[in-house]
Amino acid sequence: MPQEKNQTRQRRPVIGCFPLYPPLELFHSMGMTPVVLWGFAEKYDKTIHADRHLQTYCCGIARKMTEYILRDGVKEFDALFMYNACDTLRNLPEIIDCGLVDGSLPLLRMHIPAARLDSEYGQDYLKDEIRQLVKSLEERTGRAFNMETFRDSVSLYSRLRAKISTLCRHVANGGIGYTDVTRLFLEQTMQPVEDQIDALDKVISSVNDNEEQEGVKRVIVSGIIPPPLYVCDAMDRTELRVVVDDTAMIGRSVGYTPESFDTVEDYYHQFYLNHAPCSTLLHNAERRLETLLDLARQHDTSGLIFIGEKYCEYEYFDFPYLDEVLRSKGIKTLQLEFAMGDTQSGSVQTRIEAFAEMLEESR
Amino acid sequence: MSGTIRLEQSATNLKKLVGRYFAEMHKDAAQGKFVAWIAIIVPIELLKGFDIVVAVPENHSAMCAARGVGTMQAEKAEHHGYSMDLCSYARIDLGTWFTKGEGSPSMGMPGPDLLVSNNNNCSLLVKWFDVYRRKLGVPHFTLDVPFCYESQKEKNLDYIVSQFRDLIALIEDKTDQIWDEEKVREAVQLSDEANTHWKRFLDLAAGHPAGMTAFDSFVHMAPYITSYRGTQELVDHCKLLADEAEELASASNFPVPNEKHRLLWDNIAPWHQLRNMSSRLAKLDASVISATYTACMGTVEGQIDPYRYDGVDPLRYLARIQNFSVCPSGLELRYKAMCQLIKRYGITGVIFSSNRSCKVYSVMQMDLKRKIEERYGIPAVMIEVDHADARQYNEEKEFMKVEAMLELM
Repeated sequence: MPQEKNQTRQRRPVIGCFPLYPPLELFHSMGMTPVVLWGFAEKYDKTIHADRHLQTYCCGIARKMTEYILRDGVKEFDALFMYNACDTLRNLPEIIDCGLVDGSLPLLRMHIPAARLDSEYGQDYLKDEIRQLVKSLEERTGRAFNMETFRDSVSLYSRLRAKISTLCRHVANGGIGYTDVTRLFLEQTMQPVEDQIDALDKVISSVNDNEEQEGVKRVIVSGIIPPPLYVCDAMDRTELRVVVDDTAMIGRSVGYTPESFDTVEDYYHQFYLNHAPCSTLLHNAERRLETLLDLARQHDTSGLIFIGEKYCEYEYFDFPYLDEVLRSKGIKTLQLEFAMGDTQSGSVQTRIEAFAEMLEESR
Repeated sequence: MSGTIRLEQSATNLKKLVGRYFAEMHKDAAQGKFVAWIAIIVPIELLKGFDIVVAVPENHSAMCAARGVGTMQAEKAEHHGYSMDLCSYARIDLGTWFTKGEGSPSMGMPGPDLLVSNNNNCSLLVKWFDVYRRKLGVPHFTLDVPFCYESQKEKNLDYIVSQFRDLIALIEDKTDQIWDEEKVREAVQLSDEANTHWKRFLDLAAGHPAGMTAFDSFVHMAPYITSYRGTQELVDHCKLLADEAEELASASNFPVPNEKHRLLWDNIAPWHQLRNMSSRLAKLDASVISATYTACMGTVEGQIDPYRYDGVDPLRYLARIQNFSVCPSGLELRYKAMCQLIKRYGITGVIFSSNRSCKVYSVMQMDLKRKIEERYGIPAVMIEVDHADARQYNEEKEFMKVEAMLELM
């Protein structure tokens, strides 16, 4: 693995990872700075480089991520990592390889079983994948895996997840707006974990919760990425208070960290087995409805807003069923769809206002 | 070009087989037989170890599209909230199910007792089948087959075999039947034999003019992707097809007699356009003589010749060929297979059908196109065709691109 290219990152090699739930702690413990390449929603209006390789019916997430890697990947990263995901993403490694004109990037891969992770074969397969990944990292970095260092990295990421959860609670308690938290999260997601913790600490120390509940409509936001900032802002303005963030990039990413484990393989088996349900994790997606209903009960919510990323098949197969059941339980829903090149901000804001009014009337 | 009518005996047999398949499926289910809905490349041969009904939703959707009712069925799913951006096979299937088979040429399929999907052909199949699991409360078994960027690893083969055993145990539990390995061995042997006839048929493309078209192969793949896989009927049909096509070729009866342009098709068949597209091309003396979609049947990743059964362990063999369709293979493997087709059949141009309903097949085509143009110096064109939703195809606009390519040639 070459030495770090970006001097701001403590001279550690940087590994760009996709999709959402890579083994960050492992990379960190091997002396790297892992960053999750997700959610460049606010970064590009056009994807000129990616458009030479991906059709327009690929989702904005894939197109923007490819754009980023093709433009800046060789400068920004020392390697890439991916695990199996949707039908678009699984084709990306070789496409990126074709598209990188100013060099190449080593790619590490892993397969997370979509089969039953509680089965012996599913568990064995995943654990072997982790062992192979460790071996590959040792070869590339020239550094031996160390369990104590790994535990330290786990502790760091556990702190980060706890802080993000704390911030989400402050949003629920009215201490900080959903827009501010989402913006902060998007700004920090490409930073080293230590810097993210510092940045979050600063914000958390200045938050004072607002006990005032009048006019507040408590909602869940669910989707593969957080809503665009103008949508978050519209939600804040209409007093739609996000009491649960169930977006894959925020809420689902911080939902669980194993506490007790003997080996790195054991850690990741627990990590993926008990991960917050996500449409992209085929082995646990079936728990999503039950989880949403539980969250709605716990947080006394009356509405749920689906944030649809156009062409995200995983999410769009789930929406109709989730919608049907949630409505039958008296939870009102709003489905929004976002795509590259959207010019619909006015109509989305109107829909949010109408949804807020509907929740107000039904109180 | 009127390929399927030209192959008259085979066409008659095909019609009989397809009609019987759906009729028997409904009859057996009505008599109480256990029904499994499976994804196309779930190993049907493995299920021959049980006395159960096997139905393939993708096959049913393709049939609806070919018979001109695909769009109507898809719209029904859209009315139930399923996005138009989702796979048209899925929408047709869901639409048919929501309306209890109404509008389907086969009156849909009997309801499932078990769902078996896989994620290597495409992972959205898992989500699609999950809709039924939630609605019907029946078990859904997902075969997890790791995607191949290179040849299948031994570890992956073992992993797939373990899942096969788990699936067998599940069906034994649900049906009170004992899985019969000997029947599976026979079924695998029959599929293997059928593959050799299928290949004999496809290789008629090597002649000048070609003795078959890819459109013929699209039509006659139907028994392969239904529960006829692993049966004597499939062997007989593939043999009949190859024999008949060979006989016609020896009598200089070719689908496109004045063939000037020998084309390769990349993607799922455009089911709603088979006749239109083939006849318009024939008028321009162009023939699509090979297709990645049908050349892969019975092969393994990156190859175009059948992977033969050694007669030993049927489960290991079935696990080895779990990547027999195009989609589970990465760009380099697909490129390798396409290069073999181009060389073997003397391809002079390639049509990449960019299919928004099948991202797994389509994403990477832009790079494949560039690589093939650079290596062979032959023209290639990319057209937009949805395999089953006719609304997503603009015939004149897309055909103009093909005509422009033919002019270049």
